[in-house]
Amino acid sequence: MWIAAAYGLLWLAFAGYLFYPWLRRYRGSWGATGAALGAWLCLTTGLVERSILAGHWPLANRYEFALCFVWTILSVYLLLEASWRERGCGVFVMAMGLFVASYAVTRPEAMKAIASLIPALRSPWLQLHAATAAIAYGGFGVVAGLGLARLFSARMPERLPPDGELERMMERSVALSFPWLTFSILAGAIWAQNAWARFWGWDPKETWALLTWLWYLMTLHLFPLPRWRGQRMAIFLLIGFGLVIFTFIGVPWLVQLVRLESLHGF
Amino acid sequence: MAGQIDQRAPLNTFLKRLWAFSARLDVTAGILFLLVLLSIVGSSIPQLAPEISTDPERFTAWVAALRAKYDGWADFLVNSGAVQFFRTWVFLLPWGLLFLFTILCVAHRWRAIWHNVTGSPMRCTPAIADGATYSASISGARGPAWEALRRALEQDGYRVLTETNEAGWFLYADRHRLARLATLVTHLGVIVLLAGVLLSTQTSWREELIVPLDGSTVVRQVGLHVHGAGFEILRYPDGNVASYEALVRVQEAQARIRVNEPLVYQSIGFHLSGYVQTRDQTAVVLQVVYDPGYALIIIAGFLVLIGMMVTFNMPFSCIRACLTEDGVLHLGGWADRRAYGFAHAFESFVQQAVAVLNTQPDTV
Repeated sequence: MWIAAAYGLLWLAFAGYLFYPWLRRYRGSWGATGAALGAWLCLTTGLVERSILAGHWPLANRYEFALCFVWTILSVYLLLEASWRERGCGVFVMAMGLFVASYAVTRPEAMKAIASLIPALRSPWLQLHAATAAIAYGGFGVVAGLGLARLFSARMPERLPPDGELERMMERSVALSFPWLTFSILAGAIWAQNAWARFWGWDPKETWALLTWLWYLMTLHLFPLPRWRGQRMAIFLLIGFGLVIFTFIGVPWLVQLVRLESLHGF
Repeated sequence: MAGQIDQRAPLNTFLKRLWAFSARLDVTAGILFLLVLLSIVGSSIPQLAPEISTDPERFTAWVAALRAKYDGWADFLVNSGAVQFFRTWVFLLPWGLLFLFTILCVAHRWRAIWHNVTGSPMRCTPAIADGATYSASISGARGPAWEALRRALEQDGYRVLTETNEAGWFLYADRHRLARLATLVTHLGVIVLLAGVLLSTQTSWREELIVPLDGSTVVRQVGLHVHGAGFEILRYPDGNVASYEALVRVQEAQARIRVNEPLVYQSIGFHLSGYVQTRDQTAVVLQVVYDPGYALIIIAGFLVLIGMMVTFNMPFSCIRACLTEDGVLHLGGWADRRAYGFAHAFESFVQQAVAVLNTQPDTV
């Protein structure tokens, strides 16, 4: 129930941010933020309820991880909006959140069912690895929203912040999210050493996590160079989020398609 | 003498160019981009684990399974070396270049960074704001304005140094001075990572051990005796498996090991990876691993993490000020690109100095 309510409110927030300039004219722009905050509250309640029922953190399968992914996108965005006092980019960030949320709510019922943890997942490193990955992914989702906004900034200058400010915020968001991804990979390596007796095995999921890390490291090296800023950087950040999404959703599909072997359940 | 110089010049020029090339951010970004592309290729091809490639029996079984999946492609993948893509020079060469350029980059920058952090920062000249990103001049300034500026900087967490001479009063203030060393920590992490990987590939070994219950097996690599003392499958109330637990004894050390809880004996890890159950007997399957490079790799990872956290979140900024005998206060501000709020902070410091002048007339 809470998850369905959160999904509905997320659509409402998207619509609110879409019509934000019109709402602002009637002093109603807080409505979009209110809907996003409502979605965040419902999602938080849903995740806490699920944790209590399951007896473990809601990070044990792809459905639960997707919900946490949306939760972190909303959390990071709401914090950003509060500190930046800028709502213009909200529609782009909500689009990213909606994409992941739609993936979550369309999962088969069997995946949505609460299940007990298999022996390999019974480790404190699961929480550290998956939670930090969710935070990093959420941050990169917001970065992608800002990147999308930067691509449209020339067409709608009246509703978006100046390009320089957008780019500063993009860089700051990547810089804040990237260490979380680093820690997630490290925690995953330590966990893999304990569970599988090897910290790195070029498993498709591990390889894609590494290449996502390499991609964002590349963008961090390019940010100081003026010729790579602007729309080029925005495209790089959107590709980066594409890699994040592929690591999360696409790798299991790739494993099936090419009939690879993977030890990762999700 | 002149001949010697002429002979060395092309080599020196080449080395200097290579030196400068290695420190370029876009070059590093290019290598990273290449690694991303190569990783995508590698991730789409089934990969042969090193322990299987060294065991003829397991290798034959692995190739047979590959043929069943990919028919004629299987032999092509094996013969071309694609199944060991992540160990081919195509993939390792860019990694080698990345590590080499990281080492060169550290060698390129460490002296300047160290000098900036430890050298004397005071500059006692009225042209103090030359080359500053932000600058301001306030005329009619006297002691209270100077004190207000100093107090404001200290309250904002700046380290403030002052000096007086016949040319005037000089102030230097900085924040996150030591944070500039963090980039060296990050790069050091990359070098330690390389050391860890080399150590791991050269000295590590692993062995699969099948230990029957109430029986013993010997670890061939080191001659350790492993005794199987018990095995248990714990279940949740719904019947699903909650935990596999094996009781094993290695020499004199006995421990209960689970999937995520290996036994470490003399730096050798004993990991529970499965069990074999027949009508008469149960045996546990252990992965016995010795990898001295693992700890170095994890330490390297944390060095990279700590370095980047400090670099990203503690940007360096500094302010220089000079109050001349004729009452002009010159201010100059410099900041790391990531000090996003510095422009606002600099303006605030100037305003605080001006505010004192407005409310309190010059008395000095």
